Amino acid sequence: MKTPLSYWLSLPVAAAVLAPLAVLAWLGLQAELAFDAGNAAIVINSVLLTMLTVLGAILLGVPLALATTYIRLPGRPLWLALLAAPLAIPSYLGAFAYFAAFGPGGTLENLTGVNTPNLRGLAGATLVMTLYTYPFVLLTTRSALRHLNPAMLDAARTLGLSPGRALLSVVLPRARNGIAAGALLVALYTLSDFGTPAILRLDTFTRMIFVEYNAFGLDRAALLSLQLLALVAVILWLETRFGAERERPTRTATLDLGAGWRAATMTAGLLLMLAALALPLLVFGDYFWREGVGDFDPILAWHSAYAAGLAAIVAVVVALPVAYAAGLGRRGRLLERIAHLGFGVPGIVLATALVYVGLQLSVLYQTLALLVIGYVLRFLPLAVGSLRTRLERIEHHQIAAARSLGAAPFEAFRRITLPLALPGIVAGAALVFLEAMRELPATLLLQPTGFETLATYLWRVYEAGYLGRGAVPALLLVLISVGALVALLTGEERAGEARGA
Amino acid sequence: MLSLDGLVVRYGDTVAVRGIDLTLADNEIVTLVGPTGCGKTTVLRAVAGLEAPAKGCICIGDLTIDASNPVPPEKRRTGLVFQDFALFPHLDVYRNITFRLRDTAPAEHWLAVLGLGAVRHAMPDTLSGGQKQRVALARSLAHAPALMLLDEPLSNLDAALKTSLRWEIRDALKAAGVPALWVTHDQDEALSVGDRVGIMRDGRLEQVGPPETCFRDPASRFVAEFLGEAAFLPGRHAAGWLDTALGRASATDGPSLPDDVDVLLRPDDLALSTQGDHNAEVLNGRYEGETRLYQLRLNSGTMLKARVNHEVVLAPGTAVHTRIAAGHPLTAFPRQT
Amino acid sequence: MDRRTLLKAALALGLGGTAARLLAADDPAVSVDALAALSGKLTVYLGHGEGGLYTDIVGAIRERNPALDLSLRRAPSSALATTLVAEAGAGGPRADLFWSVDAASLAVVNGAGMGRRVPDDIRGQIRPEFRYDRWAALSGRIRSLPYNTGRLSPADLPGQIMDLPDSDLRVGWAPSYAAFQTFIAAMRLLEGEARTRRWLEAMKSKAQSYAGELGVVLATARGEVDVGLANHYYTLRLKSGDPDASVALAFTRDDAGCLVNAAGTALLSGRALPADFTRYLLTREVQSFLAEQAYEIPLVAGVAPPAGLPSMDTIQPPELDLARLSELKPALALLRDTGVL
Repeated sequence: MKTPLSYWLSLPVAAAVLAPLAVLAWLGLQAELAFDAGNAAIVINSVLLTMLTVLGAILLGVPLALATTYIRLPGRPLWLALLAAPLAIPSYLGAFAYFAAFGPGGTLENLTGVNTPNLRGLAGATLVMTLYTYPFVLLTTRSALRHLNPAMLDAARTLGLSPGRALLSVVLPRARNGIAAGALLVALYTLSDFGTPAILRLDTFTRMIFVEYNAFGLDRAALLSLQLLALVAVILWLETRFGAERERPTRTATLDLGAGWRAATMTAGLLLMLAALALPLLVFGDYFWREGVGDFDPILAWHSAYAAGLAAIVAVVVALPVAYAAGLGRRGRLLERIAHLGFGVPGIVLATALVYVGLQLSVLYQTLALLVIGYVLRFLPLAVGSLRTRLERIEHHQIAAARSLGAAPFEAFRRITLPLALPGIVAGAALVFLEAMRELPATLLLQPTGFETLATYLWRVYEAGYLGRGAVPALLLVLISVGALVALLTGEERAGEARGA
Repeated sequence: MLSLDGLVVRYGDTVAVRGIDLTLADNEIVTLVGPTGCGKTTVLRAVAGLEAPAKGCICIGDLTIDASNPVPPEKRRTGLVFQDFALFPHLDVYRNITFRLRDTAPAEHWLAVLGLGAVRHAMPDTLSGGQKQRVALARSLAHAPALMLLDEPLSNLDAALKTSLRWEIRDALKAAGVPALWVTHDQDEALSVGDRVGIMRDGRLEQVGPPETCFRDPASRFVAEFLGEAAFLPGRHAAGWLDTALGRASATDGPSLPDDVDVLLRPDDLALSTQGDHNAEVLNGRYEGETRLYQLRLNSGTMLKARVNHEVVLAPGTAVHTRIAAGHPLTAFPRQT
Repeated sequence: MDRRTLLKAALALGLGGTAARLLAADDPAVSVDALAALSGKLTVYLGHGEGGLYTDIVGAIRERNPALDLSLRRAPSSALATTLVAEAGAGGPRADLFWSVDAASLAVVNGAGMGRRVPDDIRGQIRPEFRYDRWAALSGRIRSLPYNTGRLSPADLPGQIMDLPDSDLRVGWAPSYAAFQTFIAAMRLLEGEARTRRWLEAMKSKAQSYAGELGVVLATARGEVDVGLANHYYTLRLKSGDPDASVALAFTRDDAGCLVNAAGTALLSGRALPADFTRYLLTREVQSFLAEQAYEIPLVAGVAPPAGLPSMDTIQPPELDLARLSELKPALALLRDTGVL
């Protein structure tokens, strides 16, 4: 049988995703360093941060999932949106805010006169990572709970269990897979995150890769990258073991736990929102109030948008054959799986490899093209995913009908597949755009000379200690992130409607 | 207009169609019927160009298609109608129908013929199932196909609509004057709309012929059972006559038969009476409106079904007399032991 | 008037600071007015540390020279030095000029043979003790001991940096800061590997770590620690904003503790433009700005040192060729080994 064109188009994409990994392996092999105490400390820090963050995210996410599922809260949809909102804020903004707010001379002391301790190291990083990742657990657990048969809960109650006991002994064990899926996402996110440990000074893999890269240690950075990838691989492998088994939802049970529980839930939610959303806004707002726009150059916002826009366009163009091939057969699905790998490769790791590639291929070195390639490799799965869900809804019969009416394959693609996939293309491009705008570590390493973006400016401001100048880019990034959340939620809603129709 | 010559289609290692010969005359509608997985849809897809033939050839007009010359679908001028309608959801009715038309006159014609004038600017999502299938049909016919292919066009519609739309589609095909291959799993539909019916089983055509012939004189027990209620009564064959415990009937012309045969009896071949010699017992009855269908057990143990006027009401357990009442020759098969 | 407008006005009018004019003695620094306008494409790697101040200088030069197409890459100076070394190994550096706040990074780049000879007229403008063949020093900074004036008097402080571990003072430091690492590199060169290691090990138990040296000075002023290790200008900047802050500068004598480090440029391409750009950085206007706003030590004749800095005659920096600071790696290894970093 003839190999479809989309396979041929997807093949170079898959190769491009694998190439950086090969480069890292090669660089890592050249490292003359063995595993030493310093390296062990990095492993321990990374694993500790990941485990503590997962623990924190479960402790926050699971009770909130139970509360938002079973307790009748006034304004429940608003609560849900608010409680999920921290996910949309890049954690480095949170880290920046906590860095600036706490400690002697921090915003909190300036505003209230109360001395607060520095939030640094493992404790600070765990706090910030937990605040910005717990929604993963909240959302996956909620989804699992909503797929549980509520009759089970009713049965438990009629058998004499109190609501609390019923939740603990009947509901939670069934939601285990949902919780695990969320926890693994948290772990993946925490391991990959560069900004938070870097700003709060915890020597994790991502921070030390950056440090080594900046201190004549490209080989050592590659070696650390490979170790990090091994950890990521473990997480991804675990993820495949927790396929969510779903029960048919009939209706969602509610528990009347009384006004006390409602009040407690809302108080806890409010405190969380204060910590995760209000505090950063307070810090950035305070800086903005005191320093104004300062010498902020709007060209930075344009740079961010320009690079992210290019990445979005390239990503959907590249994603189209991959998503198409994925629907054709086993080989196509394999190609799609490979393209998916980029998501598991932390930005700092990908960038380290690409800088080396750039040094070898000097036409690419420090060019916008290399930065865009970095974004595309990293965020391609977002575009492929949203395109696939769209393409899957196009019936093969519609294409067959067009062909039988006399349309050649390309005409059928142009007049049927493309217009029908358009919402997916737009959604995919929007997702890639918003993620690329916020991306920090790869941008730091790959930015062309003279091409500063909001994220790198914020980072430089942090490095130089002139935190006040970070207000405008930080507020702009928050705005963009809110845009991302809104786009995502309305997109999901629309998808839901279409499915319901 | 269409002829299949030894058509074989494979999916990987499995053979879906195992050698089919079939010729359609101009303007002829042939229905293909058979149980799920018999290969009927595959035949259709091969003709449409959605599957490549592994062996044999397909001739559509002047086109000859075989494994070495797989003409792409868009070059075959076949009109395809699917059970899921396959309308283009982003185009309104009119733009669906005029999809690749330069001259839109045929679209106007079919919009009028199929009564779609009122919904010409509606989006497919807003149409009822029947309307959708009319749009799909209009779209295909407006593009002036050399051959129409219908893949279970009625199976997604509710029962009341099925019958009326059946005639509408048949009339439209006849008006267009194109041959059509119509795949269905519903034997009523196959028998009523086809000029000829092809019954498929396991990748082969068991029988092709006019509906009456296939129903009354099936080529095999499988065809007999697939096309309607069938019972087999042991009998003897001699010189064109069939003798059974329930009476005598002439045998249809056909391959020579041995002496011991099983005679095919349809429910309407039997007459029932409470009078006379009781040779059977009523097991149960089913009210069908104009008729009633009774399941009987002959005293010899053979199970039969008989269809009678709805005024004949018999309680289960009633002893009855039954006999062959058909005025036409009956079909028999060599006795199975 | 904020400092940016001030600088812009100064550059536009060709005026130096008042102090500069008063002190303009025998060999006055060049004014921007004497320089030809810059034009053409110039790529500068700016190893920062001083945040917005250097950006202000670049902005003012850009505004004065519309024909100059300046691309700026900003990162910590050590990171840019690494990048340049890597680039040199893969087809040559991509920058025309490396402007670094730290002599060690310049030394690293020159260690890879990248810096070109500085034209004599530029060398001639720089104070004689800061004239180097392959990089142009632009401004000086001195390692210092900021101390809390509420708790200590200058007499309580050791005169030698190596004696600091023997005191019972609480010390603040910022080991991940480039200036501190350069200071350790200098100590290693002056005192030897073994003594430096012992010093680090002894200090580790009594020192409090901070992210940056501004943090060290703030902590000293608050009294969290008695004394800090930091470049001099943080204290001066703090005092200028808050004259009542309980912190003052002290210096050790003739050791790494009062090392004079310098910011400067290395010319990486043979074109005239990077040298011309460096000439702008040595003008009276830019040097005055550095002295008055950044509290750095100007290195051209006729521009006054920053207010609040003791006379340079009273400070006895060690004799150390800053070019030797390219031996940064062994110092980093020491810091890692002792667990300080």
